[in-house]
Amino acid sequence: MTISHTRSKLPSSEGEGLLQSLLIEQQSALEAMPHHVWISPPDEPRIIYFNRRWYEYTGLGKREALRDSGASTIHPDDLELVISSSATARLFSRAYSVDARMRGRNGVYRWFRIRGAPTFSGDKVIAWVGTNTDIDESRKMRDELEAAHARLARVQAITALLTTTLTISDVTGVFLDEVVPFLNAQSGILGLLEPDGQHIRALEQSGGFEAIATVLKGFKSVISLEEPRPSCDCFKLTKPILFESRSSMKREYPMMIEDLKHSGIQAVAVLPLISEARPIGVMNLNFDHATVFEPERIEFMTTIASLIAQALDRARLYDAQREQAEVLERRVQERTHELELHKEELEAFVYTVSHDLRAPLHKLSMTGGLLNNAIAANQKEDVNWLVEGIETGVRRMDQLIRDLLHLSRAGRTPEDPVLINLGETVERVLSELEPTIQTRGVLVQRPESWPNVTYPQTELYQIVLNLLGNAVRFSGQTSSPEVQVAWTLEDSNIVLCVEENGAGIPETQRDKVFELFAKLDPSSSGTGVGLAIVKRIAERHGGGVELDGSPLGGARFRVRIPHLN
Amino acid sequence: MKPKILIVDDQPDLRKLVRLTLSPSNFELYEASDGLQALDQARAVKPDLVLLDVMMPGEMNGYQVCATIRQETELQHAQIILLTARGQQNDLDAGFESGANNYLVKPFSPTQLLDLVYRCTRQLEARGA
Repeated sequence: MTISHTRSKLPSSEGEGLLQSLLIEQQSALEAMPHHVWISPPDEPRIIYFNRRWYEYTGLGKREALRDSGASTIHPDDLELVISSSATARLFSRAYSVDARMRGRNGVYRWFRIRGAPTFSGDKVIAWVGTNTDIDESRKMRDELEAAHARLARVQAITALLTTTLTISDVTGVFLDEVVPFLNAQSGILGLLEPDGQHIRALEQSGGFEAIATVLKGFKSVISLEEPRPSCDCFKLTKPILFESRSSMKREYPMMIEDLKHSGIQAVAVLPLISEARPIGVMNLNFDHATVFEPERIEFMTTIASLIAQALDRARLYDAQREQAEVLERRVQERTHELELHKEELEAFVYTVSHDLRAPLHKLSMTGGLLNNAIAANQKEDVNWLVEGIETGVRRMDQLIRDLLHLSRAGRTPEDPVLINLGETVERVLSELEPTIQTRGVLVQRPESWPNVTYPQTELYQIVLNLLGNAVRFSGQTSSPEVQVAWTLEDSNIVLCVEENGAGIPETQRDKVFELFAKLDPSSSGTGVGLAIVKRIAERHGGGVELDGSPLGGARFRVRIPHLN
Repeated sequence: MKPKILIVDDQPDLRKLVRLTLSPSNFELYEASDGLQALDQARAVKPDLVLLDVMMPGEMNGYQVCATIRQETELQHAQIILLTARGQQNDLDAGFESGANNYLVKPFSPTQLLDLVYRCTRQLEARGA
């Protein structure tokens, strides 16, 4: 078809005359054609003749039709294509074919194939003759076929995605990113039956979740199956529940309408998730427009729902197994770490113990040998010194072994924590240390009231004994010895604080003093085990011990005593 | 001439025990209580034999003292016996690497110490002769 938007002027060319005679000659044949037929002059894109069929279809009058060459009947979206096809064909005097929608008398557009071809007289074009053939049925079929193919491809893609999903969040991801948009829904929620069999829980990852929660009044992530909701009924009846508009929902679930008021949701589809013939949850789709759920669409949603159900079932199993595996792995790691710590600790322990136990043993070995000579030579002074050495050596050995036993048991006693007054323990220790306190003239200051703590009794005694024992021994090297015991409450832990006015411990040595056999003063009578015991007990019971400088000048130890149950 | 022996140990008790062991014999005895003091003494008296405790607090342990003595030409003839509570092979290797001639693993008896000291000083005499 050749058309022009401009009003045609009256033709006056030579070709026109020829064309008119041709028209008159052929008219009866053209009128009888089952297609639309039109004729256009060779030199300008306007139509001077339409056959009866054309008028019948368009419902236009002759004047109207010839005024714009029938352009008004072409669908606006297709008009440009038709004009350009015809113009190109005219340029090269070649036949053309183009598909376009044409409006019928009833206002409905149908697809036509428009063909135009030049008619020659010799090598001269004398006219353009065209036909419009109704191809609406086949065109629609083709469109439908294409749409069906596209849908199928999409379904295949979604199916493939759903069969490869591993975790529940993978499944909800596919649901939200693929299924919801594909079904033209605005949001969706997957809900799974809780283990109690009484509730349905929305999967948190199934998004639009927050969005829904904010717009949907009364939205709950867990609902009881007894509630009068579409999701519950869908689950219980194991069949889709569909509302194409709000008014249809109002009839069955009047109370939902209030909830939906400001949600923008117009239509809802709820489908049961069925895996291995057993309902496991529901798939909920919300539409912001009234929607017609044709049978194919319902069938499609049902198919997707069953795929999702299987995927979720699989993912649940997978997630559970993975969780279990993770728990196991963590436990193994913890144990391994603990064992490594124990092993390192043990190695260090054995090494230092073998060394430090040998020291007194060595002295005894030397002393024993020399004692013979001294006696033989009747050197009384040496004999006394050596005998004394044996006594202290044996005592020291004994003390070492006892301390090591304490250490090995530290924090590991089967003793249960009991409620005891911290002050009582402090007083018991002080009375034991009384001889040293007297000899050295130590001033011990302590508060009048003490808190109760829950702790294994002998272990608490060990901590206090070691800290106070050190404090009494090392206080006041230059001035008159002074020891302060106090307690504070920090983050619901009781902190026992022991400090003195001795020489103090240099910052670089502060970590070291907690090591086994670490002694700042090698000549001191301590075994070097005490602080290691304190540290170990405190840490084993979830507390700890810290060392810093005291305002009194010496060292300050702070032991955290958590409440044990 | 009496062999000169330097006793190095941080514990006075142990120095005294060694001294009691060696004093009946014909030795000239010197003492030091830490690594630095030991080097000072060694440079001053040029001992024939050093009895060197390995585990000493302070800036230098026995191995370091031993290695330093070995680097000084004046002190090269000195025999060094390490006294150590660490009898593991790697401890001994460290001792010989630092240049010690011999070692005694604690605990040892006065007789064991005296035997080793005699052996070392006899070697000295033989060499000196």
